[in-house]
Amino acid sequence: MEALASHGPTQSVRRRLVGPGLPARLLDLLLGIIGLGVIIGGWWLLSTQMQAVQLPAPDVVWDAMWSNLWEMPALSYATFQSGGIADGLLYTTENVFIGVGLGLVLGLATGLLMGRVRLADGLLEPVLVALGTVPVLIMLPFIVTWFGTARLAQTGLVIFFTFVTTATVVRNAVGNVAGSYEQSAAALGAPRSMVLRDVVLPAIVPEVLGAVRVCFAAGWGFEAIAEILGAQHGIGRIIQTMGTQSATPELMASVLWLAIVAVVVDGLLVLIGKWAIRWSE
Amino acid sequence: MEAGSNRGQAGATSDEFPAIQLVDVSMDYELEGGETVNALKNVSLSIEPRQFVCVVGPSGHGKSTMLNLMAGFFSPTAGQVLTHGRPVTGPGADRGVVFQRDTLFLWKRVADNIGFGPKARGVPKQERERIVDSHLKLVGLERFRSAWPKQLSGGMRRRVAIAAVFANEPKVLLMDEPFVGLDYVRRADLHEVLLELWQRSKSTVFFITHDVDEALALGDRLIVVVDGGIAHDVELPFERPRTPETISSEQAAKIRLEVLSKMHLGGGV
Repeated sequence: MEALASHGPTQSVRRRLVGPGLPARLLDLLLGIIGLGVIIGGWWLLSTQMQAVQLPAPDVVWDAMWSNLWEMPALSYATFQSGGIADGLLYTTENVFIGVGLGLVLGLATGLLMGRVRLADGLLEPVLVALGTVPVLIMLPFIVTWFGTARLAQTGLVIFFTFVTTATVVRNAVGNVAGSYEQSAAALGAPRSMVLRDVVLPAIVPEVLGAVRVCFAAGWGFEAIAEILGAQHGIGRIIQTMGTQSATPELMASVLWLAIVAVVVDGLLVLIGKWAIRWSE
Repeated sequence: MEAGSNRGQAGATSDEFPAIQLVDVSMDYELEGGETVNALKNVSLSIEPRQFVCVVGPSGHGKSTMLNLMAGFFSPTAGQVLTHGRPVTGPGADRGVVFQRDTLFLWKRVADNIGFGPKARGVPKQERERIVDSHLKLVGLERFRSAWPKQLSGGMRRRVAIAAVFANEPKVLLMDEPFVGLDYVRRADLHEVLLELWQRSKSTVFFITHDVDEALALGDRLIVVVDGGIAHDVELPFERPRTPETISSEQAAKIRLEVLSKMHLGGGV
């Protein structure tokens, strides 16, 4: 008995807990830098063969990224607005967070209701399936008709997409944990409220986190498109304005900043996720 | 809640009534094709308090169905299931279940897995800690108090599952092939843990296994379930603690032969 108890976590687990060694991580980093270098090198080569308005060189875009961050002359010229890429990006980021947040709360509630209550599942399943098959962008004209240029009009797509995705994922995940864990909890005397709080909710965290990442990834795109098609603010509005003015360096600078923010947010989500499901096998 | 009321009367009634009683129980399942399967056919069975009952029989002949009815996961198609004289209406903390599959809560550390049942019953935190500590000690896992289940080996997980059930002080323990897939040494080791906990807690055990020798090593009584009915029911008159000699004695060999022949006669093999 002692011998069994003393051998502790198995080797493979220990290795996984520690993660790859430092040399392996350095190698990964190095490879990443090389990959990025190849792309920028290719871009530079291509830019020497094309007109600046079609494809500006990397250093020109780099300058545009910094010189337009806080003040953007091309934008104030066209729209009489002050501020730079940072202001537009802040507006866009706020909307994406609000959209994913609202969609998540609604989707989680709906998914839990469907997963736990048979009647609700029967009533809502056809609706959810129908909504899931609608291409999200088709909703845009309706949303603009209903909400005009208000903030909700741009966030609407993100809310809609997040809601449908989360509700579907949560509903299925709840169905999957229902069987054995719930039986076990019930046999230990857990009332329904405790089963929900201590068993169902923590068990579906990995699936929910996956859905949140997908919704953020898609959310940046939907938000930007919604802004391009009819907003007074935001990075999409800036991209649209720069496009019509053929201000290609500023256009690319805006897109790159958006990509950077999206990647950073995703990285944070990955970190949070790793901590939140550190128990997962 | 229900479990609590059962528990409240435990002292007064536990010896008056059988710990588990099946009265003319039948259980039919409907398959997806519309066919009906009679998993249990008019089974009557009475298990006295503190008895350690082992159940063997071919797969798919009704052993697990019996256990699920006792646990309250299903209701019988006909007949009555009683525990300590009261009808079983659903799962409850008075009847602990150790499943064959691993049902530890992966998102809870070992200590919180063991403390889950007491928490469900509303045991105050300090008392809960004491229960967790003593059960960790009983299964020899003190050092793994704050480990995640994924960090444990299969045998260690099984210990946690058993500790989690015993921490709830169930009057009846229902075990469905709990040690399947473990090697001989680990299993013998867990038998010791189980018997110690059983004797300490004075609980009644209903233990399903596919291994006749395991049944001979553990049980007071051995039941053979074949084709939805009880084909054989025999007392195991061996003294405790049991040794390898016990289960290789002549008497044991005779019982083993009887049991195996009953399983064959049922048409299960």
